[in-house]
Amino acid sequence: MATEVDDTLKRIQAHKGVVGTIVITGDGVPIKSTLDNTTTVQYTALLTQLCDRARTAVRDLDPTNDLTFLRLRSKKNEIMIAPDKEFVLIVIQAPAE
Amino acid sequence: MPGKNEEGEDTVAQPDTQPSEAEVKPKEPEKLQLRTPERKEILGFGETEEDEEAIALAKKIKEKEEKFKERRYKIAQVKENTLSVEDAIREGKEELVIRPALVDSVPEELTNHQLNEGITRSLLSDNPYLDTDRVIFNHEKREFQKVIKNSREVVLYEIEGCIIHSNSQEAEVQAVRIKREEKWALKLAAINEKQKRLLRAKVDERKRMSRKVTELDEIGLETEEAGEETSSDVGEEGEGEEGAMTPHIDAFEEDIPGKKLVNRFNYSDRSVLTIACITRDKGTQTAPNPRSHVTGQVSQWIIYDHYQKDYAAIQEAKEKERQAKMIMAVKKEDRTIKKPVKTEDPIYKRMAEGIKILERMLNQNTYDHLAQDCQFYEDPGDKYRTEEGVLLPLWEFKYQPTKGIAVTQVKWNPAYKDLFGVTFGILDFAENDDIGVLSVFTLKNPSFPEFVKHFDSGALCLDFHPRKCYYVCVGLQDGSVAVHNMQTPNCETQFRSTVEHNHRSQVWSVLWCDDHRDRQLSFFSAGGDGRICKWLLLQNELLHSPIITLYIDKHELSSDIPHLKLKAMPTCLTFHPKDFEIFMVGTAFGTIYKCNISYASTYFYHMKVHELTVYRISYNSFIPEIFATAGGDWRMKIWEDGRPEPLFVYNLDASVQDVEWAPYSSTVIAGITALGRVYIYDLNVNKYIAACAQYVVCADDDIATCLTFNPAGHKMPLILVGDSGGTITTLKLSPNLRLKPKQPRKRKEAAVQIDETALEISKLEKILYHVREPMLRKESEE
Repeated sequence: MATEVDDTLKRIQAHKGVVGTIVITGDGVPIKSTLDNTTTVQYTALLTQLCDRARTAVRDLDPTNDLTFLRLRSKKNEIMIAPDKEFVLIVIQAPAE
Repeated sequence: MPGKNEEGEDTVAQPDTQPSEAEVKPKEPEKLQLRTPERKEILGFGETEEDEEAIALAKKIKEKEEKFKERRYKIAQVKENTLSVEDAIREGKEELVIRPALVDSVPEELTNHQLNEGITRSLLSDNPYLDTDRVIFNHEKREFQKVIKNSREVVLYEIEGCIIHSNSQEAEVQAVRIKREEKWALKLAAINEKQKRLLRAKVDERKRMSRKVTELDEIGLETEEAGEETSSDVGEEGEGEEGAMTPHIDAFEEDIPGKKLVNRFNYSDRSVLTIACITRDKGTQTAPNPRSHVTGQVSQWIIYDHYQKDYAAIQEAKEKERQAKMIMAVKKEDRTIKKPVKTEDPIYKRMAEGIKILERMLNQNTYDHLAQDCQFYEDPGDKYRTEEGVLLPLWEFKYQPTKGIAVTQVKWNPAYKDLFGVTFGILDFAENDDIGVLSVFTLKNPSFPEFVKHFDSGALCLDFHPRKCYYVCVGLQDGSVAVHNMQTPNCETQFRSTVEHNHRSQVWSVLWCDDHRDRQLSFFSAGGDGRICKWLLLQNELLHSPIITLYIDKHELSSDIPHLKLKAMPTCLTFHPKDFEIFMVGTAFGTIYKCNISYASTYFYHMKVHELTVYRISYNSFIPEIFATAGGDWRMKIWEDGRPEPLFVYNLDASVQDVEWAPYSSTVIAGITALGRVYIYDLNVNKYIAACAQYVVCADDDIATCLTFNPAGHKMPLILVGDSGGTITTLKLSPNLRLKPKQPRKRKEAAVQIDETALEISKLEKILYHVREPMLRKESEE
């Protein structure tokens, strides 16, 4: 299973338009990143907060509900986040021209 | 009154002692009292005469003391006994106390007269109970001696008082002493400060000196004595004088009144200076207690989560208990317990799931235009092309490891309309055939297959189970069959046929059988060795059972080898859509066999339908009597069951690799040629000219191998085309290729909708009628 995750990550990185992938632990520590250090730290800090807020919003509305994915579409790129209690997966993709 | 005499006698004795007690001097020990017995007689009743006044007085006293009487009596008795015995012991004498015998206390009964009779009572100084015959054993003389006791007193109660009679001698002595002390006090007041200091110095000196110095004191140095008295021990001395020392004082006072009393005791005062304790301060500082701030937030969902966790824990505990019981039960029955399968960390599972969806998101972004087209694009050109349609190419599926390996079969999953399985294998058998792949793709992720399974031999065919859609069976080039479960991680191989049961040649077709008589799942396989086999999925193994072996008809062979029975080489297998017992097999020799699974020895009929290999047989999805065959002789034919002549024959100018009836329409049929051209006919529109004839395979040297319609029909009008280069192309049918039958006008007015299936059937029946008619006429003419 672990190798499957690794393989998929590699595939994603090779995918057209992907800027970077980050894997963050539940404590907010980036353990795997294809971006440079500064950007990784910045993304980590901002997106974990965003995830927490988003989850709070979803769960406050309905406690039985939960946040599963988060897609942020911006002018320049799209950030896809898979949040979990123990990890957060982030993929940044620049849309095809 | 009975007993009054006794009481009266008691009271007689009482006044004897009472005054004497009052006279007892304060702090005077008992001995003193004993030494001076004559004093008591002075105040007692001395006369023996009758005295009325005395009696009255006695009575008063008696009444007064009545309440204490009994107690006193007891105390007196106890005291008498104890004291006397103690005295005797102290003096070393054994005193024998002989008491008068107790008077019989039982009162005699008196008459009224006697009771009323006045009794004159008299008090006597004599004590009638006084024992006169007391003797003491004298150990010296070794004889009893009579104790002569003059005293008639009986001590009943004694207490020391602090009051002195003012006229007594004691009081006089005290008065003298007080006077003297006053005098000394005056004297002392006159002593000046210097003298006082001197005295104190002397006192200090005296403290340091030994007994000798105290002797000097006794000689009577006035100054020293004065010092003594002024010093701190005034109180003690006073007490001493008052208490124990009185007899001595008395003796001196009479001689020299007013003279200072000398301390007669062997007085010594000692003082020692011990080593002074040095006080020290000692301090220790401990490490400060660790502190921490605890903060928390509470929201509805946090509470909810906690409840859920708690509930889960309870359920788990219950489950454990239940399992423990089960294990106990199993242990009793059987010693062998299966070890629990070690499961992988669930975090990876969640991670894999999350990342899979992320990948799909990426693909959705990348292939967004294709997804949009698939869902919404309808070719507007179809409006102007009345009898023609086009195919819109959408996703292309490629799997890198299988590049250049031919797609042998493509099949949609019956449950998930976006999922399809593909088998890859090398069709050119001269080459090495050790590569075979089963992959399951989804339209949601065109870049990578959902499941991949590699084989050591080329995979030639596959099938999904119609109900348990996660079971896939695969036929391989080496003659074996395998069953996979997509629910297990990594799509594990659950069953694989063994060598002894394998087909002796390639397995060209596998099909799940929906035979409700079997409790287990089962599937059929058609191998190149002419055998049709049934495989049953048991608990741990794949059960093999041969159904039928197909032989080539003798007539078809040349007469040179009449005795040889050659096996046919099945290439395709199809089940009747309505009757699960009937199936049809196409062979490499261009014949088809219609068989029944219940009869292994024979078949309904066999028929030569093509000159070359029959690649595929496809039943019409609405009328099962109609089926189509694709042959290597460039022909695609439509047949009616039981009719030796084909209804339609289409020449497609190349080897027809695959044919399939559309699932949504009874009249639409699609075939693909090896050149990669798709032919789609709609019999309802035009029986002779294809509604669409389009090349779909790009590469020149690649040949198309298979084609399949999406079973969702109108909802997803897609076909998949596989080629020998390992690419699967998705194509969307334009609206002209999926026309719906029109509702009859009359019915329309009545607003009664006819079932679409019925309409489809009637549509095909109408066409068939026109085709059958001339054929029947022709037959009748012949």
